[in-house]
Amino acid sequence: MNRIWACSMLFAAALSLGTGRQQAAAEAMLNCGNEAVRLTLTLLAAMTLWSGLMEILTETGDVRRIGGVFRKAAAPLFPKIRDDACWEAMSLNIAANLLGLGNAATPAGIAAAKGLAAQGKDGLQALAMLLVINNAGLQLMPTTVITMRQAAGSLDAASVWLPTLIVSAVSTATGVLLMLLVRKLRCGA
Amino acid sequence: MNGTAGMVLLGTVGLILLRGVMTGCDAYGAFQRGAARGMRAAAELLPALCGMLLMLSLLNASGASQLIARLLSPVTGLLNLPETIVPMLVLRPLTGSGSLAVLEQVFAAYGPDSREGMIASVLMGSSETILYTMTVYLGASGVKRLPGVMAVSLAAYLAGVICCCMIVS
Repeated sequence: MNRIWACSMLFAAALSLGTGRQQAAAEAMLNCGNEAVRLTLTLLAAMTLWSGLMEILTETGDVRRIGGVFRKAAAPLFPKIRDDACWEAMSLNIAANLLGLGNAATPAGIAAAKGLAAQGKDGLQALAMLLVINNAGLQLMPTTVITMRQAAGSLDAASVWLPTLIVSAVSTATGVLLMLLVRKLRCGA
Repeated sequence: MNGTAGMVLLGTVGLILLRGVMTGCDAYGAFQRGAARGMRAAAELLPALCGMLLMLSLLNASGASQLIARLLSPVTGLLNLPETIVPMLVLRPLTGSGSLAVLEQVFAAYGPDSREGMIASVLMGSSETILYTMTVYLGASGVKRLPGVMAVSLAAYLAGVICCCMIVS
């Protein structure tokens, strides 16, 4: 990221000098601080509100309960994982991701990754599946996007809810199926 | 706000509060704790967002974005994807703050309810910063490499992108 960041800006600066756009580029550059502050304010509003609301579900124990449902449903995807502490961390990680609780999902995911890595080949296989599910970004309510749309003057900010859910379900299913295929190919060989 | 979408939002909040009342827990206390955590996390995004917006605004103003988009236009044309979404498509798996910055710029240029705005919104909400999860989880667990995960994750992301272009008209 470091390289991309610096090099792409050097390229852009050179290009704008070469094409006589230096005035526009300089203005854009000076403006970006303002833009960043405005965007941060929107995110501040979104994340304060929704982290607060979702925290209630942690307090009621529902995050744990959703994790329990995940454990029952996903057990076939993680064969040979018996360790309860691992399952606990994995379930919490997935449940927190579903609810958009990034703050809770990361520590749980790290705990799960450490626990699984200690279990040899089966653990690594499970970790691969957990990462693929994490990477597909399934989330029940895209709260940040909805708030940003609202702030940008959308007439129907929440209309993205269903398409977002469908798209992330499709990519989660694709990821899980492909990972199962990879596993099968690797074990078959 | 359209009826169903508003209902889903209000229903979600209603359900959360109902669960709070049913279990008799300290819902207001929990709200404040979570809100404080969310606030801090959001405030800490400012430096990264500023850096990303600096890069994006320079790329846009210099014409470099348009150049890259034109180079990729055979691919985007195949997917029926607006060229202006290309920065989002490329940055989403790499950086969370970068893609938030792109989303904001797409909203500013085309409006959140345009096709560009809708596609960018759905892409943002339905995917994850793959590079970040890989770095954090593998780094923490000390696993050097996990073959297949990156390729499968990117393929799943691409399937999502294709699906997104099909259902957002």
